[in-house]
Amino acid sequence: MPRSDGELMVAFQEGDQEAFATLYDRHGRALINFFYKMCYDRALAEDLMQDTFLKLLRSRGRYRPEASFKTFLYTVAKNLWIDRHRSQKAAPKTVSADLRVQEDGATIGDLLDAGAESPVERLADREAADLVRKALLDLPEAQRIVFVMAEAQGLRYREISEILEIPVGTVKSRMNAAVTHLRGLLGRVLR
Amino acid sequence: MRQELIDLLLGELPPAEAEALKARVSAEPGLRRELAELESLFGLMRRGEAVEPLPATREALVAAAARAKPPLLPRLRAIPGLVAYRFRTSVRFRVAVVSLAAHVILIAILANMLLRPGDPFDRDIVVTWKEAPEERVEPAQDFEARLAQRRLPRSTRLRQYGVDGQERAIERGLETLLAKQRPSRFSRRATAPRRRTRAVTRSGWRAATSSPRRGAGRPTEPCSRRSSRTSPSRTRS
Repeated sequence: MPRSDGELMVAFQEGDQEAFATLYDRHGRALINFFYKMCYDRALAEDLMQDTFLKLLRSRGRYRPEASFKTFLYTVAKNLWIDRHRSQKAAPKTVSADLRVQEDGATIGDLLDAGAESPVERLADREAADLVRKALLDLPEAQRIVFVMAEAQGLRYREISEILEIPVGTVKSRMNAAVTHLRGLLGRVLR
Repeated sequence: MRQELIDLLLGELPPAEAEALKARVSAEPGLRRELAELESLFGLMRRGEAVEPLPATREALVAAAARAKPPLLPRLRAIPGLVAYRFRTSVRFRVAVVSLAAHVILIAILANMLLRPGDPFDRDIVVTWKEAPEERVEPAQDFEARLAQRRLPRSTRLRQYGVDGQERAIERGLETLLAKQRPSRFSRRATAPRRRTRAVTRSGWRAATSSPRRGAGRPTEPCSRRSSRTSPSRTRS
């Protein structure tokens, strides 16, 4: 039976390094995509994800098993996002699809194309991805972080309210506003 | 309504409410269209770009974790949390914690009552200092002073009454008489009646309880041994 995140974190506190590697395997991909959808800068997302795990490594003594590990992880991630991204004050709005992101030389464009079957579908996917990117970056940051956490990361309203330290009602209203905003921007594609 | 549809898609609605909403959506074409639009929006957002972390990042992080030694203090601090986590779902554990807390409180109360001097049930509980019974302590020094005052004119009086020469016998009789009237050095006589106020203030009974009055209510006894020791006749002889 696989161990829960909390048990893995407790094991890591006791010196089990394999537990840390397992936690990374479980949450690393989701975390980098969270940061990526927040800024659409792959290098920054990779840095922030790495920093989040390093901070987790350093502050592992502060973790309490009764708390949710996911909430703990995303609280660290949110704080890093606020510290790093806001201090830079210059988030790149676009990223080149030719940027090499894999060691074998694959680009973001290649990754996007991987699931498509025909040239038309590829084009549609690329267009859709561009539209999604523009729409997400057009969202106010407060709405974007709620939307990405709820929709892309699958976090519950209660968890988001704990991470962002806002009431659940505010999470709901921000989510509603984000959906309204996105529907206005992506209406052409949706119909 | 849109908020409820979003909650439905995100799985935030309780099962009963979700079923009711689904039934309503299937009955109303407008809601069905709205739900379909939201579903396609969420599907589109999921089709957006996704990135994979670099393998080098994993290696670097695992190496950093291997270098970091677990500090002793966090491990010690984690023990209570670990115990609570392991047994958090156990009803027995919760009952045991509540029972332990109740025992500790009971033992603390009993220890406090038994270790304090005096009878714990014979204490006046005073709500405010104004209600404290006023006590007038008759200091033994006053008595000695009065005795000295009486002593001075005694021989003069004896001479006046024509009983000169019988001082010894009279003095002895006087001493006996005075000894009967003399109060004990440490005795206190409460002039006001004892007030027993059985009330507990907000600050707690401990803070409001007055200390037991030693000797209060006891009859004043003559201290004959002491008086004989300090009698002027013996001192003189």
